[in-house]
Amino acid sequence: MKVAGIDMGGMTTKLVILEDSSILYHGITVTADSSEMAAQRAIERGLHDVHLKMGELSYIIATGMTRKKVSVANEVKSSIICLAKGAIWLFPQARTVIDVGGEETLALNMDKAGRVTLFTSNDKCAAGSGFFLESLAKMLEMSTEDMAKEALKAEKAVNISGTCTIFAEQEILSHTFDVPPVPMPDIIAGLHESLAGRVIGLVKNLRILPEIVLCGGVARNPAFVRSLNKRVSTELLVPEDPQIVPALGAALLAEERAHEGKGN
Amino acid sequence: MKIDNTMWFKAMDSWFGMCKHMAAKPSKSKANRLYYELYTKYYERLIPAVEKGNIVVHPTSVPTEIIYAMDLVPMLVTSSTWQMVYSLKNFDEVLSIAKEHGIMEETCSIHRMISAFAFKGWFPKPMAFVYATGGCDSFCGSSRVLSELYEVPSYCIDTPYHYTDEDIAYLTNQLSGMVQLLEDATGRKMDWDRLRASIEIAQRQLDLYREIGELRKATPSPMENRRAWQLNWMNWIYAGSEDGVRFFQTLRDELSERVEKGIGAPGVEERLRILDLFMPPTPHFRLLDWMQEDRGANIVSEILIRYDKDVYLDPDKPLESLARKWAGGPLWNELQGSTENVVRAAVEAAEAFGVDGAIWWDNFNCRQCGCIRMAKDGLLDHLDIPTAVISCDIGDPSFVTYEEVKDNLEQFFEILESRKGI
Repeated sequence: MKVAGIDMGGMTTKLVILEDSSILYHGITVTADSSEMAAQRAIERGLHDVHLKMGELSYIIATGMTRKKVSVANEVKSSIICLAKGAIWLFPQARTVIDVGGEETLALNMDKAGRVTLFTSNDKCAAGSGFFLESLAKMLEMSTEDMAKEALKAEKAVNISGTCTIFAEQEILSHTFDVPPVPMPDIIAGLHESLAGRVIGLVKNLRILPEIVLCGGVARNPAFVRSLNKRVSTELLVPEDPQIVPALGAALLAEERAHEGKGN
Repeated sequence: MKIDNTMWFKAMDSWFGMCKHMAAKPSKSKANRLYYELYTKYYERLIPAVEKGNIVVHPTSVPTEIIYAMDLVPMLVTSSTWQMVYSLKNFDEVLSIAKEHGIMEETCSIHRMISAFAFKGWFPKPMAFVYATGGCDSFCGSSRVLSELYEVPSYCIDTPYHYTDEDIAYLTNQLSGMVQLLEDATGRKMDWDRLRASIEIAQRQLDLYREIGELRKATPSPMENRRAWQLNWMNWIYAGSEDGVRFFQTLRDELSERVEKGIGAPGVEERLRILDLFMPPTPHFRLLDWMQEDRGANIVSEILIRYDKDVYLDPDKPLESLARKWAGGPLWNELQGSTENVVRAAVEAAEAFGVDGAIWWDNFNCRQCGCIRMAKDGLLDHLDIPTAVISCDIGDPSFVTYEEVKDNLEQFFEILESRKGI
């Protein structure tokens, strides 16, 4: 039985295809246009890569910001539910999950059965998400990958107190033009520390229960992971492909539905 | 201060018209129709009173029995504010006025709106203002602005923190001061016989209020989500009156019938039982309907507007009785006193009503939302009940849109359904 889960993010679309609980395919495409087109493109690419046809998928669940616009989905599920499902499948010992995406950060607590007990998000301010680093990367004319490499070279991260991207930009300039100027790795490390501080502040709306899974696009940033690790008592668990966790969760739920006899 | 009531009258005419329309509209609920009839009746009294100037303005929850017993008409600043902006759809304009006058955007939107109306003289001029320290600190601020700008006598009731006999005695004394101020400001004398008679009626209302609360424990819960707020409103504007008793009885009878038949609110299939921990956003009140009709999420109890204490009123001690009624009931629970009380009340209600989850409407810049963490932890630790903290604004619809709030609620309901295995 083959099923799919699709996570419609603001910046990227993630697809996971499962066959009998094994990951047959996982992929990420850029959400360049309408959600419907982005979903279609992601699914076509995935099916093509594993030589499948659309009709061979028994059930499709869509999640993410624009999940309701995916017409091919049999069902939609919230990001929190899918995140919990995917995280506990990967790490059965997980009790806290933090997903730091491009525009949104989600966090949840769950019990050992994977039932969500508390959840929160930063839906009001993109500065608590990957957007913070993306926009500052543009200012510094670097990629976020290069920023992370620079940050890891830092001797001492400078304190970036601004909670807003605009104010952080001002602080970067003042540190750059300080006498003597603050080394760029220290400034960039400070940006990562600042984001980590805000993320942990959000997570403190819940309980920080071990084990803690970190996922989302920003989890691929080793400098951010290092900064966040300093703020928790146990080593963060980061999946091999941290962006696909909600899509994986959606696919797992799709599999449950298919076993119930729903769908194709 | 140049008073310009044009906008107020225009808004109230619109609101009055809406109430008359709703009262005449066929409804599956007698209580709903009666609510709008009585709301219309209140306006029929309020509007001429404004024209004559015999109104007493108060922000919220001050015992209106006292005002009525002096043949004055109470006008709630908060609801008038809301009705004005909602009818005239001038949220942006009003909030800009507040900003131009230096009221920070970190202030609760309702108080920014009240202040804006005060600066422009858009509220009718009353004979007196009565307000209280209890509950929302901002009420002291915006009420003082109103009374100073309007140059009207005012009285601030200093509300005590606890519910001991000493606190009640203190509050009774404060209410005595309120009577004195009203007598001095209006030239009218308190009709103590009328007040005593209204206390007897208020006791009947209290008993009915509790009965209604008990009926809501049934499964399915029999009441429409928004009815609780209608009940609360009637409890204010018809406090100590036979019309108020009539509404409570009609509602009680309607709910009794549904419970006997084992049915819920019309058209509702109960899937989830929700405890409401704070004030829903007034711009998006229709969310309460959507929750129930589309998602089967019944709000079975509201911490903010229930009677937390067993209150018994003695007509021979009218002011003390009103002090007990006020301090033991709606709004006082969460807006006054310790956070431990809030948590205790939440856990007790969650258990008594068999709830699946709780919602805290996280009103931007509201200090009561400092309780959120304790309430969440309390419900989770004692009863394994999750709480959704829903970002919203009590007065400004642009802060968090209807769709955003709905999306967050859907997410929460999915979590609860998943936990229940439905």
